[in-house]
Amino acid sequence: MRRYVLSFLAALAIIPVAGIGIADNKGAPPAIVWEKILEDAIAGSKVAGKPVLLDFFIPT
Amino acid sequence: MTYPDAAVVDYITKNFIPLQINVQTSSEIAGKYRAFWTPTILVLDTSGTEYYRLNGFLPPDEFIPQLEFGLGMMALEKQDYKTASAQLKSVVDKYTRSDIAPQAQYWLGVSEYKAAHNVEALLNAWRKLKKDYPDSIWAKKVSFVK
Repeated sequence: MRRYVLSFLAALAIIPVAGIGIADNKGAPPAIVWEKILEDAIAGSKVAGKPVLLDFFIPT
Repeated sequence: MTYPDAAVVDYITKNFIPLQINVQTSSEIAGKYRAFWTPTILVLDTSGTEYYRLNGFLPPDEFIPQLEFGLGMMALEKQDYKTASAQLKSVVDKYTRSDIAPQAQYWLGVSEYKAAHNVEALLNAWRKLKKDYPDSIWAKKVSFVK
């Protein structure tokens, strides 16, 4: 019985924390997932049938 | 900033495989595509051949029309006139006040002409260009059209 009570209390403690994590993820702004290797992007382009958008940049 | 913009993220994700190349660490690729300034943005087909490029920063309301125009020009050059006309018309219709719209209207006429050798379609598109964008350089290019 004591074990069940402890489990229940542990669950109560974890759920709000998990909820914060889910809420944070849900609120995160969308982001572009950039390929970093030309050959990989071209391979992905062939598979998806989409063109490649190549952005040359300098880190700031 | 352009890339964090939700509409830009959505447009790029739906229409492209996005690739970022650091010119400082990938000088060979930068040289291959003749990228001498950043940002330089290219539209490549599925073989890696360049079909459109733009240089310099643009805000989202100009960047998305430019990308759509690039897709239209790639289709036009590949002689896929149906796709080209649809993309170029979309630029003109959806982004009427964007700076790329007059150029899209010009090439829309070319695409419609190429599709069916319809001279009247070409002239009508160019008349619309003169009427809607009289101050653009693209209107000057068709100033001979009555």
